[in-house]
Amino acid sequence: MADRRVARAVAGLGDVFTPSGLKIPTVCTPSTDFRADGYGRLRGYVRLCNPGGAFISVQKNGCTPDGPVPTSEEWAEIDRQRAAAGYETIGCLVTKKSSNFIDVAARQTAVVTAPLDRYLPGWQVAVDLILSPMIPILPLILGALNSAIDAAAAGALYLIPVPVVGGVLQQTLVHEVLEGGRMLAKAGVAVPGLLGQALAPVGLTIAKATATAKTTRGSVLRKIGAVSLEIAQGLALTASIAGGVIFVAGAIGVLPASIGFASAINAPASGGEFFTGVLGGEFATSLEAAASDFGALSLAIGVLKDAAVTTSTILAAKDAADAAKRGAKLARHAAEAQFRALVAEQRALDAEIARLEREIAAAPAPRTVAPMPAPARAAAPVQSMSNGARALLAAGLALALAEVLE
Amino acid sequence: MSAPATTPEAVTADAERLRAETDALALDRARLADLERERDAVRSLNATLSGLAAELPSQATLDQIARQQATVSALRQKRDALLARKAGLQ
Repeated sequence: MADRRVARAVAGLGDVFTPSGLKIPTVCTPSTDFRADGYGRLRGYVRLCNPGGAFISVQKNGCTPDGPVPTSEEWAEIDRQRAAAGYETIGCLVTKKSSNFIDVAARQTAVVTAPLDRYLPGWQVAVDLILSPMIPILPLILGALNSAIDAAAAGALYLIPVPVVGGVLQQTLVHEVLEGGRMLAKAGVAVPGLLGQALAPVGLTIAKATATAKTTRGSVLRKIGAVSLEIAQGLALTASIAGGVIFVAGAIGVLPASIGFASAINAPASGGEFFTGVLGGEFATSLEAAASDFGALSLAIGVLKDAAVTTSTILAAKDAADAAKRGAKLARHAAEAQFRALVAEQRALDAEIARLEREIAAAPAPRTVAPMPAPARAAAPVQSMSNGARALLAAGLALALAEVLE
Repeated sequence: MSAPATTPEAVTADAERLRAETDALALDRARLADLERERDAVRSLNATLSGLAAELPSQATLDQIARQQATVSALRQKRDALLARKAGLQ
């Protein structure tokens, strides 16, 4: 089953590139950047891309042989070159272990796995999701959340950020990446623009397991009551039930022009290291930048629990929350601006409608055309005859019939 | 405080005991430092999270937007109908 799904995912995503030379633009390297940002867990990083619009990032603890990890500027240049070549970033999925990834990702997300495991044994894998605002985001968020829940329950490390960038993404591709067909179908009942309400059933369902999140040593992490954040907490608790840690940083789009992203990481308690460098470092910044480009609502919450929580993960959550806070502020301003724009449009429409009504009322009455005189006919239709004419006709017909009969 | 050791064996034993206590204290200090760092981190995170909700668009704003969108949509339709009617007059 897993093999089949992987094969399908590969077919859907296009060619897979590997650092050993199979079409992957190899940028795999020892990381100084991640160490520099204070989290230091990621040592290697490579992105795999394909013409279908996806690129896949591969990360590994421990040094890799190919040089330094690209800096933010270098990534930007890589992304620019990729965009120029027709590639589009579509997603990010992170897993703790390649073996877990094979099991979980193949089952839950249908992201390319087997080739990576074959060529990069022991590597962590990431597929960045960056979605166009032109496609329905809600189904994708639902799909992402659902996949995150599943992966968390399975004890995997999982990350699905869904920020926004320009460009149109093939929805089928996203569908493949997220393995989201079932959620896409469910999302048909959702109302775009009222995402919080639309997600409420999901959140309520998940939130049943909600409890106070605590760190390893018992420090209580604040809970936020918003529905979407309940989802985040639910994810965290779902993960913790499986003995893991989950970090959720999400942005939920509430405006037509805005989209959201939702991120979730779950590190198995036995897995040791946690993905601290991703959300806390340049990644969070890039998400924020991507979201703010479109005035998207960007909110984040870190919910950390269980054994793998460390101070550095909390600090990573803090970084992400800071970024999300700024994004949320941007989103609030965007919402207010949108409302003002709608009010202005209403006024303009009111004025235009009033003008049109005046113009229509003042327009000369349409000239009525006199009916053409009916041409003389030998026998006018019966229904247009007067009763007297009918009597005459009937009498005439009777005479004629009598003549014929005679 | 215990009495000073008077034999080499006792001095050695005292030294080992003191070294063990010192190591234990160092570990305690390190653990305390860890706890303090975690405490500060949690406080910092909680402070950030506590202000996050306030930055979000309020539900009232979202509701207003939804209503306004409906209003504008209806007005657009009315405007379009009027335009069509006006075009029919010309």
